[in-house]
Amino acid sequence: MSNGIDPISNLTSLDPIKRLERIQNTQVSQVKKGEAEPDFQKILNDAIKGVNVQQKDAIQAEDDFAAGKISNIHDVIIRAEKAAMSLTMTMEVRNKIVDAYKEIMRMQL
Amino acid sequence: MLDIFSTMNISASGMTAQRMRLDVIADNIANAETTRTDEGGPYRRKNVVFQEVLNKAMGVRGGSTNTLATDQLGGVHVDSIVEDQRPFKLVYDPAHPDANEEGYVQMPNVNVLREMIDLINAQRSYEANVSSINATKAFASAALGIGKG
Amino acid sequence: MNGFFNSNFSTLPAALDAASTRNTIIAQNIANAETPGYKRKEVDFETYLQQAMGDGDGLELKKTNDKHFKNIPQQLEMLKPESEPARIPELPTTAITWTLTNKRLCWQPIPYAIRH
Repeated sequence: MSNGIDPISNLTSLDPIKRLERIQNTQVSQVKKGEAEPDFQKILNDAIKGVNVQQKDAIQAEDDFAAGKISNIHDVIIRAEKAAMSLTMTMEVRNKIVDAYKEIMRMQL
Repeated sequence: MLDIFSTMNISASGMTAQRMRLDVIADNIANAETTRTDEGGPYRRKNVVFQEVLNKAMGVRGGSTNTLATDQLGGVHVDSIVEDQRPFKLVYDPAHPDANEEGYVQMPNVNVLREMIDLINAQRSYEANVSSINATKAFASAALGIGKG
Repeated sequence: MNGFFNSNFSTLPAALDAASTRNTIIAQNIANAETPGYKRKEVDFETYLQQAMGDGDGLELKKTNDKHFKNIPQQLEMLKPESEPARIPELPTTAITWTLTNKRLCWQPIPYAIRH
Protein backbone atom coordinates (compact mmCIF):
# COMPACT_ATOMS: atom_id res chain seq x y z
CA MET A 1 0.00 0.00 0.00
CA SER A 2 1.53 3.22 -1.06
CA ASN A 3 1.84 6.11 1.32
CA GLY A 4 1.99 8.58 -1.44
CA ILE A 5 -0.47 10.11 -3.80
CA ASP A 6 -0.51 9.91 -7.53
CA PRO A 7 1.11 13.19 -8.67
CA ILE A 8 -0.44 13.24 -12.12
CA SER A 9 -4.08 13.08 -11.09
CA ASN A 10 -3.50 15.69 -8.42
CA LEU A 11 -1.82 17.89 -10.99
CA THR A 12 -4.90 17.76 -13.18
CA SER A 13 -7.14 18.43 -10.23
CA LEU A 14 -5.19 21.59 -9.55
CA ASP A 15 -5.75 22.77 -13.09
CA PRO A 16 -6.63 26.50 -12.98
CA ILE A 17 -9.69 26.14 -15.14
CA LYS A 18 -11.10 23.43 -12.94
CA ARG A 19 -10.34 25.51 -9.89
CA LEU A 20 -12.28 28.43 -11.25
CA GLU A 21 -15.15 26.12 -12.08
CA ARG A 22 -15.17 24.94 -8.48
CA ILE A 23 -15.45 28.54 -7.32
CA GLN A 24 -18.23 29.28 -9.78
CA ASN A 25 -20.27 26.31 -8.71
CA THR A 26 -20.10 27.34 -5.09
CA GLN A 27 -21.11 30.91 -5.72
CA VAL A 28 -24.52 32.12 -4.69
CA SER A 29 -26.73 32.90 -7.61
CA GLN A 30 -27.14 36.63 -8.16
CA VAL A 31 -30.91 36.54 -8.47
CA LYS A 32 -32.21 35.26 -5.15
CA LYS A 33 -35.33 33.17 -4.96
CA GLY A 34 -38.47 35.21 -4.71
CA GLU A 35 -37.05 38.29 -6.43
CA ALA A 36 -38.27 39.21 -9.86
CA GLU A 37 -35.78 38.81 -12.65
CA PRO A 38 -34.08 42.03 -13.81
CA ASP A 39 -36.47 43.79 -16.14
CA PHE A 40 -34.96 45.73 -18.99
CA GLN A 41 -37.81 48.18 -19.11
CA LYS A 42 -37.44 48.98 -15.44
CA ILE A 43 -33.69 49.44 -15.86
CA LEU A 44 -34.19 51.79 -18.78
CA ASN A 45 -36.89 53.76 -16.96
CA ASP A 46 -34.70 54.19 -13.90
CA ALA A 47 -31.82 55.30 -16.09
CA ILE A 48 -33.96 57.92 -17.85
CA LYS A 49 -35.26 59.25 -14.54
CA GLY A 50 -31.68 59.45 -13.30
CA VAL A 51 -30.67 61.42 -16.38
CA ASN A 52 -33.51 63.85 -15.83
CA VAL A 53 -32.52 64.41 -12.22
CA GLN A 54 -28.87 64.98 -13.12
CA GLN A 55 -29.72 67.42 -15.93
CA LYS A 56 -31.95 69.51 -13.68
CA ASP A 57 -29.27 69.50 -11.01
CA ALA A 58 -26.66 70.70 -13.50
CA ILE A 59 -28.88 73.55 -14.75
CA GLN A 60 -29.57 74.57 -11.15
CA ALA A 61 -25.86 74.53 -10.38
CA GLU A 62 -25.11 76.82 -13.31
CA ASP A 63 -27.81 79.27 -12.22
CA ASP A 64 -26.54 79.24 -8.65
CA PHE A 65 -23.01 79.90 -9.77
CA ALA A 66 -24.09 82.83 -11.93
CA ALA A 67 -26.03 84.24 -8.98
CA GLY A 68 -23.01 83.82 -6.73
CA LYS A 69 -24.44 81.19 -4.38
CA ILE A 70 -21.77 78.62 -5.24
CA SER A 71 -18.20 79.68 -4.63
CA ASN A 72 -16.44 76.66 -6.13
CA ILE A 73 -16.42 76.40 -9.89
CA HIS A 74 -15.47 72.72 -9.72
CA ASP A 75 -18.84 71.89 -8.14
CA VAL A 76 -20.61 73.24 -11.20
CA ILE A 77 -18.27 71.46 -13.61
CA ILE A 78 -18.59 68.15 -11.80
CA ARG A 79 -22.37 68.28 -11.74
CA ALA A 80 -22.45 69.15 -15.44
CA GLU A 81 -20.07 66.28 -16.13
CA LYS A 82 -22.27 63.87 -14.16
CA ALA A 83 -25.27 64.91 -16.26
CA ALA A 84 -23.33 64.32 -19.49
CA MET A 85 -22.10 60.93 -18.28
CA SER A 86 -25.63 59.90 -17.24
CA LEU A 87 -26.89 60.70 -20.69
CA THR A 88 -24.08 58.83 -22.44
CA MET A 89 -24.49 55.75 -20.26
CA THR A 90 -28.26 55.67 -20.73
CA MET A 91 -27.82 55.93 -24.49
CA GLU A 92 -25.39 53.01 -24.40
CA VAL A 93 -27.76 50.90 -22.31
CA ARG A 94 -30.56 51.69 -24.73
CA ASN A 95 -28.38 50.80 -27.71
CA LYS A 96 -27.45 47.46 -26.18
CA ILE A 97 -31.07 46.61 -25.41
CA VAL A 98 -32.19 47.53 -28.92
CA ASP A 99 -29.34 45.51 -30.43
CA ALA A 100 -30.29 42.48 -28.36
CA TYR A 101 -33.90 42.86 -29.44
CA LYS A 102 -32.93 43.13 -33.09
CA GLU A 103 -30.71 40.08 -32.76
CA ILE A 104 -33.58 38.03 -31.42
CA MET A 105 -35.93 39.31 -34.11
CA ARG A 106 -33.42 38.28 -36.75
CA MET A 107 -33.61 34.63 -35.75
CA GLN A 108 -35.26 32.53 -38.41
CA LEU A 109 -37.97 30.37 -36.94
CA MET B 1 -23.73 49.82 -3.87
CA LEU B 2 -20.78 51.36 -5.55
CA ASP B 3 -21.98 54.32 -7.53
CA ILE B 4 -19.62 55.85 -10.05
CA PHE B 5 -20.81 59.30 -9.01
CA SER B 6 -20.00 58.83 -5.36
CA THR B 7 -16.39 58.31 -6.40
CA MET B 8 -16.50 61.71 -8.08
CA ASN B 9 -17.98 63.15 -4.89
CA ILE B 10 -14.90 61.99 -3.00
CA SER B 11 -12.63 63.87 -5.38
CA ALA B 12 -14.98 66.88 -5.34
CA SER B 13 -14.63 67.05 -1.57
CA GLY B 14 -10.86 66.97 -1.99
CA MET B 15 -11.02 69.87 -4.42
CA THR B 16 -13.25 71.88 -2.08
CA ALA B 17 -10.85 71.25 0.79
CA GLN B 18 -7.87 72.38 -1.28
CA ARG B 19 -9.78 75.51 -2.32
CA MET B 20 -10.35 76.40 1.31
CA ARG B 21 -6.67 75.78 1.98
CA LEU B 22 -5.90 78.14 -0.89
CA ASP B 23 -8.12 80.79 0.67
CA VAL B 24 -6.27 80.49 3.96
CA ILE B 25 -2.87 80.65 2.27
CA ALA B 26 -3.94 83.73 0.31
CA ASP B 27 -5.08 85.30 3.57
CA ASN B 28 -1.71 84.57 5.15
CA ILE B 29 0.23 86.03 2.24
CA ALA B 30 -1.92 89.13 2.03
CA ASN B 31 -1.57 89.78 5.76
CA ALA B 32 2.10 88.92 6.05
CA GLU B 33 2.90 92.40 7.33
CA THR B 34 -0.30 93.36 9.11
CA THR B 35 0.45 94.70 12.55
CA ARG B 36 -3.05 95.80 13.51
CA THR B 37 -6.02 93.49 13.73
CA ASP B 38 -9.42 93.71 15.40
CA GLU B 39 -8.15 91.81 18.43
CA GLY B 40 -5.34 94.32 18.83
CA GLY B 41 -2.17 92.44 18.08
CA PRO B 42 -0.56 91.61 14.76
CA TYR B 43 -2.00 89.07 12.36
CA ARG B 44 -1.63 85.43 13.38
CA ARG B 45 -0.95 82.86 10.70
CA LYS B 46 -3.93 80.62 10.00
CA ASN B 47 -3.88 76.95 9.14
CA VAL B 48 -6.51 74.47 7.96
CA VAL B 49 -7.11 71.13 9.63
CA PHE B 50 -8.31 68.38 7.32
CA GLN B 51 -10.31 65.41 8.46
CA GLU B 52 -11.24 62.24 6.67
CA VAL B 53 -14.98 61.75 6.16
CA LEU B 54 -16.34 58.28 6.87
CA ASN B 55 -20.09 57.88 6.61
CA LYS B 56 -21.87 55.48 8.89
CA ALA B 57 -22.12 51.98 7.56
CA MET B 58 -25.42 50.93 6.10
CA GLY B 59 -26.41 47.47 7.16
CA VAL B 60 -24.12 44.99 8.78
CA ARG B 61 -20.45 45.04 7.97
CA GLY B 62 -17.36 43.55 9.58
CA GLY B 63 -16.74 45.34 12.82
CA SER B 64 -13.11 46.40 12.52
CA THR B 65 -11.91 49.47 10.65
CA ASN B 66 -9.99 47.20 8.33
CA THR B 67 -13.17 46.11 6.61
CA LEU B 68 -14.60 49.39 5.36
CA ALA B 69 -17.21 49.34 2.68
CA THR B 70 -16.63 51.70 -0.23
CA ASP B 71 -19.94 53.45 0.28
CA GLN B 72 -18.64 54.69 3.63
CA LEU B 73 -15.88 56.73 2.05
CA GLY B 74 -16.73 60.40 1.97
CA GLY B 75 -13.44 62.06 1.09
CA VAL B 76 -12.17 64.92 3.20
CA HIS B 77 -13.54 68.05 4.81
CA VAL B 78 -12.01 70.99 6.60
CA ASP B 79 -12.50 70.38 10.29
CA SER B 80 -11.47 73.84 11.47
CA ILE B 81 -9.25 76.79 10.74
CA VAL B 82 -6.79 77.22 13.58
CA GLU B 83 -4.34 79.98 14.35
CA ASP B 84 -0.67 79.23 14.56
CA GLN B 85 0.38 79.80 18.17
CA ARG B 86 4.04 80.27 17.52
CA PRO B 87 5.45 83.58 18.81
CA PHE B 88 5.45 86.69 16.68
CA LYS B 89 8.57 87.87 14.94
CA LEU B 90 10.26 90.85 16.55
CA VAL B 91 11.68 93.35 14.07
CA TYR B 92 13.71 96.33 15.15
CA ASP B 93 12.08 99.42 13.63
CA PRO B 94 11.74 102.39 16.03
CA ALA B 95 10.11 104.59 13.37
CA HIS B 96 7.16 102.23 13.03
CA PRO B 97 3.96 103.57 14.66
CA ASP B 98 3.41 100.20 16.36
CA ALA B 99 6.89 99.92 17.86
CA ASN B 100 7.15 99.24 21.58
CA GLU B 101 9.39 101.14 24.01
CA GLU B 102 12.56 99.35 22.91
CA GLY B 103 11.81 100.00 19.24
CA TYR B 104 10.72 96.46 18.38
CA VAL B 105 7.64 95.80 16.26
CA GLN B 106 5.74 92.53 16.52
CA MET B 107 5.30 91.22 12.99
CA PRO B 108 3.01 88.32 11.96
CA ASN B 109 4.46 84.83 12.29
CA VAL B 110 4.06 84.30 8.54
CA ASN B 111 6.95 82.99 6.47
CA VAL B 112 6.09 84.02 2.93
CA LEU B 113 8.39 81.45 1.35
CA ARG B 114 6.75 78.68 3.32
CA GLU B 115 3.35 79.95 2.22
CA MET B 116 4.46 79.92 -1.42
CA ILE B 117 5.51 76.27 -1.07
CA ASP B 118 2.15 75.47 0.54
CA LEU B 119 0.49 77.24 -2.36
CA ILE B 120 2.22 75.02 -4.88
CA ASN B 121 1.35 71.93 -2.81
CA ALA B 122 -2.29 72.94 -2.71
CA GLN B 123 -2.26 73.44 -6.45
CA ARG B 124 -0.71 70.02 -7.02
CA SER B 125 -3.27 68.38 -4.75
CA TYR B 126 -6.06 70.12 -6.63
CA GLU B 127 -4.69 68.87 -9.93
CA ALA B 128 -4.29 65.37 -8.49
CA ASN B 129 -7.98 65.38 -7.57
CA VAL B 130 -8.83 66.53 -11.09
CA SER B 131 -6.82 63.58 -12.44
CA SER B 132 -8.75 61.29 -10.13
CA ILE B 133 -12.06 62.54 -11.56
CA ASN B 134 -10.78 62.10 -15.10
CA ALA B 135 -9.69 58.56 -14.26
CA THR B 136 -13.16 57.81 -12.86
CA LYS B 137 -14.74 59.09 -16.05
CA ALA B 138 -12.30 56.91 -18.04
CA PHE B 139 -13.47 53.93 -15.99
CA ALA B 140 -17.08 54.54 -16.99
CA SER B 141 -16.17 55.12 -20.62
CA ALA B 142 -14.13 51.92 -20.70
CA ALA B 143 -17.01 49.96 -19.21
CA LEU B 144 -19.28 51.30 -21.92
CA GLY B 145 -16.83 49.85 -24.42
CA ILE B 146 -17.42 46.27 -23.30
CA GLY B 147 -18.53 44.26 -26.27
CA LYS B 148 -17.38 46.74 -28.90
CA GLY B 149 -14.62 45.84 -31.32
CA MET C 1 -14.26 21.09 -21.14
CA ASN C 2 -16.25 24.26 -21.03
CA GLY C 3 -13.73 26.25 -19.03
CA PHE C 4 -13.79 29.81 -20.31
CA PHE C 5 -17.15 29.71 -21.96
CA ASN C 6 -19.09 28.75 -18.90
CA SER C 7 -21.99 31.16 -18.53
CA ASN C 8 -21.32 31.40 -14.81
CA PHE C 9 -17.80 32.64 -15.32
CA SER C 10 -17.81 35.48 -12.84
CA THR C 11 -14.17 35.89 -11.92
CA LEU C 12 -13.67 38.57 -14.57
CA PRO C 13 -16.58 40.79 -13.46
CA ALA C 14 -15.31 40.35 -9.91
CA ALA C 15 -11.94 41.62 -11.09
CA LEU C 16 -13.68 44.60 -12.66
CA ASP C 17 -15.40 45.27 -9.34
CA ALA C 18 -12.03 45.10 -7.65
CA ALA C 19 -10.57 47.63 -10.09
CA SER C 20 -13.49 49.96 -9.56
CA THR C 21 -13.20 49.65 -5.78
CA ARG C 22 -9.49 50.31 -6.07
CA ASN C 23 -10.29 53.50 -8.02
CA THR C 24 -12.57 54.70 -5.23
CA ILE C 25 -9.96 53.94 -2.57
CA ILE C 26 -7.30 55.77 -4.57
CA ALA C 27 -9.62 58.78 -4.91
CA GLN C 28 -10.01 58.74 -1.12
CA ASN C 29 -6.23 58.51 -0.69
CA ILE C 30 -5.66 61.46 -3.04
CA ALA C 31 -8.32 63.60 -1.36
CA ASN C 32 -6.82 62.83 2.06
CA ALA C 33 -3.18 63.12 1.01
CA GLU C 34 -2.55 65.90 3.50
CA THR C 35 -4.87 64.92 6.30
CA PRO C 36 -2.77 64.40 9.43
CA GLY C 37 -2.86 60.89 10.83
CA TYR C 38 -4.48 59.44 7.72
CA LYS C 39 -3.54 55.87 6.98
CA ARG C 40 -3.27 54.95 3.35
CA LYS C 41 -5.84 52.35 2.35
CA GLU C 42 -5.23 49.59 -0.11
CA VAL C 43 -7.28 46.97 -1.92
CA ASP C 44 -5.81 43.49 -1.70
CA PHE C 45 -7.87 41.41 -4.07
CA GLU C 46 -5.33 39.12 -5.71
CA THR C 47 -4.24 37.47 -2.45
CA TYR C 48 -7.78 36.50 -1.52
CA LEU C 49 -8.50 35.28 -5.03
CA GLN C 50 -5.41 33.13 -4.91
CA GLN C 51 -6.43 31.72 -1.56
CA ALA C 52 -9.89 30.93 -2.88
CA MET C 53 -8.36 29.28 -5.92
CA GLY C 54 -6.13 27.15 -3.76
CA ASP C 55 -2.77 28.65 -4.69
CA GLY C 56 -2.04 30.39 -1.42
CA ASP C 57 -0.19 28.83 1.48
CA GLY C 58 -2.36 30.34 4.14
CA LEU C 59 -5.24 28.04 3.34
CA GLU C 60 -5.35 25.49 6.11
CA LEU C 61 -7.31 22.26 5.82
CA LYS C 62 -8.92 20.47 8.71
CA LYS C 63 -7.35 17.10 9.29
CA THR C 64 -8.82 14.09 11.05
CA ASN C 65 -5.77 11.95 10.42
CA ASP C 66 -2.11 12.88 10.53
CA LYS C 67 -1.59 11.50 7.06
CA HIS C 68 -4.08 13.88 5.52
CA PHE C 69 -3.05 16.95 3.56
CA LYS C 70 -1.97 19.89 5.66
CA ASN C 71 -1.89 22.52 2.95
CA ILE C 72 -2.90 22.60 -0.67
CA PRO C 73 0.56 22.25 -2.19
CA GLN C 74 2.15 24.26 -4.92
CA GLN C 75 1.91 22.68 -8.34
CA LEU C 76 5.65 22.57 -8.72
CA GLU C 77 6.01 20.53 -5.56
CA MET C 78 4.26 17.65 -7.33
CA LEU C 79 6.92 17.56 -10.03
CA LYS C 80 9.64 16.32 -7.66
CA PRO C 81 11.09 12.91 -8.66
CA GLU C 82 9.68 9.71 -7.20
CA SER C 83 12.92 8.81 -5.41
CA GLU C 84 11.42 9.75 -2.07
CA PRO C 85 7.93 8.80 -0.97
CA ALA C 86 5.52 11.47 -2.12
CA ARG C 87 4.62 13.24 1.11
CA ILE C 88 3.05 16.67 1.14
CA PRO C 89 5.59 18.86 2.86
CA GLU C 90 4.77 21.68 5.25
CA LEU C 91 5.13 24.93 3.38
CA PRO C 92 6.56 28.09 4.90
CA THR C 93 4.33 31.05 5.55
CA THR C 94 5.59 33.14 2.67
CA ALA C 95 4.77 32.27 -0.91
CA ILE C 96 7.64 30.50 -2.57
CA THR C 97 8.52 30.43 -6.20
CA TRP C 98 11.25 29.30 -8.51
CA THR C 99 13.91 31.87 -9.30
CA LEU C 100 17.09 31.66 -11.28
CA THR C 101 20.01 32.48 -8.98
CA ASN C 102 23.58 31.84 -10.06
CA LYS C 103 22.35 29.71 -12.95
CA ARG C 104 20.62 27.36 -10.54
CA LEU C 105 16.93 26.99 -9.85
CA CYS C 106 16.22 27.45 -6.18
CA TRP C 107 13.40 28.41 -3.87
CA GLN C 108 13.10 32.06 -2.90
CA PRO C 109 10.53 33.57 -0.62
CA ILE C 110 8.43 36.44 -1.96
CA PRO C 111 6.39 38.61 0.38
CA TYR C 112 2.64 38.96 0.24
CA ALA C 113 0.91 42.18 -0.76
CA ILE C 114 0.91 44.18 2.47
CA ARG C 115 -2.09 46.07 3.73
CA HIS C 116 -1.46 49.05 5.94
